[in-house]
Amino acid sequence: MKWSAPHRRRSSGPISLNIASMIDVVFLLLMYFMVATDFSPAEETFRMDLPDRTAGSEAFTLQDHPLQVEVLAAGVQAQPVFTIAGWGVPTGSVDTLRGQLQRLCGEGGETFFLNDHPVEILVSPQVAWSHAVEAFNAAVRAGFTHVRLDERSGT
Amino acid sequence: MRVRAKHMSVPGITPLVDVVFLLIVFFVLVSRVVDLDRVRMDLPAPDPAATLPRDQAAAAVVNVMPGDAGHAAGYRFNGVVHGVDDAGRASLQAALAAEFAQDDTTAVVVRADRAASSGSVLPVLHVARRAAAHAGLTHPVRVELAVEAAR
Repeated sequence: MKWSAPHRRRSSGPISLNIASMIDVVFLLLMYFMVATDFSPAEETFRMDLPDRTAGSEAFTLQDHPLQVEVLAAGVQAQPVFTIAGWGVPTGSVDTLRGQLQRLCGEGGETFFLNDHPVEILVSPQVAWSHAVEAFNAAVRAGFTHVRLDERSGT
Repeated sequence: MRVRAKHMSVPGITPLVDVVFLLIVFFVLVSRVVDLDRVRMDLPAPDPAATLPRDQAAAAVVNVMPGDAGHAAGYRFNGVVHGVDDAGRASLQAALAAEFAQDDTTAVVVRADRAASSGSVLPVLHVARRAAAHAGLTHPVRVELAVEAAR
């Protein structure tokens, strides 16, 4: 029996790179990113600290009685009504609420509260969550630094 | 006189590969991989908002699942949907307390649809407060209210 070395065929043309497999991988990557991409808008947060009520350590109200902002629902459509208890005229506009809070906060001539005075947003359960957040935002934008949210009792 | 090519013409795929690479670069830059902790919903979007970006502290994300007429269909936490009844709130409280026991600096991120009634969202705050007390936290529990970032 005669064994012969395998005959190696030499390509006569120029050397070319086969990129078909690379294109396959690239298309797979494209598919992955198209499926996994989340185009939902970015999120930010309002921060607040919840004190422990059960242990009788209501640190939030030890020093001062909080400034209370009530958010009520009016009418069938549950339109929001914002009221600063004891200070402001009820309003349906969050911008008006912010203006009222700004007059009460800070170093201005009409200032009645320091900006670290606690503010309590008391929300009626029927009020839409967006209006509760808007009231919270108004207090923060007015300059108050200790703002918290709670359910309005008796509604 | 026009010279005809003898062989069949092959379309060049170089521009195609270029475009595909550009698409990949685009998706790499803009993509944020889907976060299963965050249920898709319309968050409140106060404008302009005095919010802060999420910090890197540990977070327990509680999603108030939208139900009918502004009511909550449940509270989703760590992939588990807890009911809105007393039993559901108790189980959510236990889950949050376990989270606080592992890391007492954990912040509770509350995500709720803008059309949800406040009465369906605010119980989460009470649950978080009770969970913190149950876990023996000596400091107030940090709560973060999620809103849509301004564009």
